[in-house]
Amino acid sequence: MVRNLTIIILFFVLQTQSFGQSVDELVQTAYKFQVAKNHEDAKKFINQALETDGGDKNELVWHVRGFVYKDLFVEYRADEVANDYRSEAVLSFLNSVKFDDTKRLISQNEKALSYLAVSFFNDASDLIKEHSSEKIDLAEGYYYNYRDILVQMNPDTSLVEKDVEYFLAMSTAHRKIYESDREKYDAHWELSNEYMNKVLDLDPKSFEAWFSKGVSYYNRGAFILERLPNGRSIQDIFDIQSESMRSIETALPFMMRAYEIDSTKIDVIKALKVIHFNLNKEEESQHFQDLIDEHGGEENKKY
Amino acid sequence: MKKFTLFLSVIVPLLIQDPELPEMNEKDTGALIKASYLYNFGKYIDWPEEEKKGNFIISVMGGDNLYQELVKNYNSKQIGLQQIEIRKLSKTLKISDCHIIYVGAENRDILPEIAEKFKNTPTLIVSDGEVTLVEGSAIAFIWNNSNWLFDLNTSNAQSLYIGKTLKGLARKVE
Repeated sequence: MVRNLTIIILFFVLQTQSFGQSVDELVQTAYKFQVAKNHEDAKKFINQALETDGGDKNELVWHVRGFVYKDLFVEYRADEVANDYRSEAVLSFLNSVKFDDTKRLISQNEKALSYLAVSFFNDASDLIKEHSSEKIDLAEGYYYNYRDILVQMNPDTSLVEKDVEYFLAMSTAHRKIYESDREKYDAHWELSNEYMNKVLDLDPKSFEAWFSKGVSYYNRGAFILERLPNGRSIQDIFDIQSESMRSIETALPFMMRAYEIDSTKIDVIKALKVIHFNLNKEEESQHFQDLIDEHGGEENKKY
Repeated sequence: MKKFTLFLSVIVPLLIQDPELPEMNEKDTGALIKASYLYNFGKYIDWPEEEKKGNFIISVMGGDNLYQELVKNYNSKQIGLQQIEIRKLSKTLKISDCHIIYVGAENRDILPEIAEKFKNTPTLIVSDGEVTLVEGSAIAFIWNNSNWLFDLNTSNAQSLYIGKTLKGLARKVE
């Protein structure tokens, strides 16, 4: 009872004292609440510090504010408001870095920013792995938040490797959404290829990207033919196969490029056999069958 | 100045990438297309009245994938009022009556004998390649500009009525 009363009195005193307090005093108060894990009151005092004269150019105010909002983000992780808290935390730490002329807080600020950046990255990763057409666009926002933080921390950071990883993952996610219902999610096929093109812009020798593009176009061509049994006329056959074969023909140079990059992978050899077979190029198809045999592979199916 | 010590828990970045490569949806697209043609030939060609009873029989000699596509996609369909029946044949000249017989490339050597057997009967013989039209087939599948089309030799289908529409859709009519 006495302990509770003390807390209430302390709270009242601190509340009353906030009027007319200096920036330093407000930061101290916010800090005490922060340490006591009372994030809501810590937020109130640190924002008062920010609005007090000079507070918005004070690296310590921004630094403590960053931690307050970071902890609010963690506390409300499952709620919608968590993102706003995280954004405020990022803004605060970046401002702390900006105003920290002596670099006294640089190490902690950078660690905190890295923590928040990784949390964005992980959120993007989780969303990508869900393969949900409703949520996949959110992943883009999270990934670019991650990216922006790293670039702001160090403009010379090379993010090529991470970008490639991200674009490949997004392409895969869009492909899987498309494959889950090709009619309904047709637009995701194009999106999947757009991400693959982004990979190739950064890494023109990406085996995964060339191979995936080849499979993507071949599979689309094969899928289009599934409409044939519902065709009403021979003219429908002409139209359907024409669209299908264009797609399969498009797949061939992509798969050949993958083969040029890595001719040891059995997947690409099998793929080239299938594509050539379906373009009625029997000799070429047989050539890749021979290579499969050299690899000790079974794969003697007639396609 | 009081020292501020605020702690961060450790957070490890997840692996974002799905490591698997996409899988090919392996198909014999030629078989799919030819199966669709065979079904449609049945609809476009007019068989004599006495052949419009019982099942509509499509026999396949060779071309395993084509046979499977026919069974999978057309076995439950009808031509007019006739239920489609797909039959798989081994390489033989002992062939029961049928409406359409497809002779795959691997059996081309017996195509002239098959043609002779069905001469003057209402059976449509279909095969692959222009040369088979002189060996007895009435319709030959042709690979042309990356598409499967068909040529017609009406003299090899004299017991059937092949209308202008089908002739108009053929790449070539002899």
